[in-house]
Amino acid sequence: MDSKQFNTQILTLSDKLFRLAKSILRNADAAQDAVQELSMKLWEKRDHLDEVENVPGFAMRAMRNHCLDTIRQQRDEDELPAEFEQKELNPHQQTEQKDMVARVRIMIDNLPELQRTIIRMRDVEGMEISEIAYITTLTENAVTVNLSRARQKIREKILNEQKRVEETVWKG
Amino acid sequence: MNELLEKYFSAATTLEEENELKQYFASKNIAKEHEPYRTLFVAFTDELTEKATEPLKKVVPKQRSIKRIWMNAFAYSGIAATILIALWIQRPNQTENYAVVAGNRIEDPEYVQEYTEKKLNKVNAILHRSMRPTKSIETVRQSLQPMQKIAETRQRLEEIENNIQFK
Repeated sequence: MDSKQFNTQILTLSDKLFRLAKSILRNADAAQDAVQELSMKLWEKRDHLDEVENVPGFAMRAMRNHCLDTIRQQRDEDELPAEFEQKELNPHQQTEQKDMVARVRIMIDNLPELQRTIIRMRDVEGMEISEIAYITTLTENAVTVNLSRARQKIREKILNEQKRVEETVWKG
Repeated sequence: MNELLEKYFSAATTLEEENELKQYFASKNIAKEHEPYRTLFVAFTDELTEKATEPLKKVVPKQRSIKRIWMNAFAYSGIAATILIALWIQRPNQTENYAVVAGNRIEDPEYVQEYTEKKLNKVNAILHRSMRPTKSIETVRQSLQPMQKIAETRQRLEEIENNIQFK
């Protein structure tokens, strides 16, 4: 793969790769670094990319694996775990809570990595189940099960939130 | 719509059906019972607009940096200057290449060549003039040839005459 093909096929995926990395790492700066690192890795292995049939899928899979490696590495180094349950919201997030959309995003971020990755690939990126199965190296059935669980959890949280808001209003 | 939503939460919808849901929740005509889910679909649409904070830089085929080009230029200039200096130092001593013309030392090769050609032309003209008498002698010699024939004929006649007397 020459530089022109690389620019066409990989660099056009940068936003998609960034969103995937941010969903897994839950940090925009770390996601940006991860995308840059992956881009360099892919450029170094560009000769092998000619043999890959589905380059976008391959890049997304590589992005996910790279992010999971980063999380594992941070755990090994006893740093703050990258993947932590955001049960207690920081002041910034509390401000964001005023925005219900931001709250839904936090709900998705609190899902397990696989579920939040799958729900975003499907509902944000609009990917086919077969594509998600390739990237996550799961069967299509396993993807559907995880997608269903993720959506059900979000539904439950949204309804609970709605109920809490209604109770607050009623009490007020 | 309720049926479609149930299908959605069971992960049984197609991409087309999910797009239909997104369009529904993007509109203003949402049933009150569906209102809680609106934010979910709006959140998905919002996230899709999220861009990389720092877009990847285009990969360009390796190009020599300006700094490297200048360094190479300096290096090549240095080599060329060294060669020129070496040639200058070891050049043939030009003072040994001269000609003496009318007692004067001439080092200009063009002047010497021109002077030599002039002199050679002059010699050629002299030689040409000197050969003229030779040509005249040849003409005289050719004119005398019939006289020689007469002498030969008279000598022959005398021989014949002697032979007749003897008999």
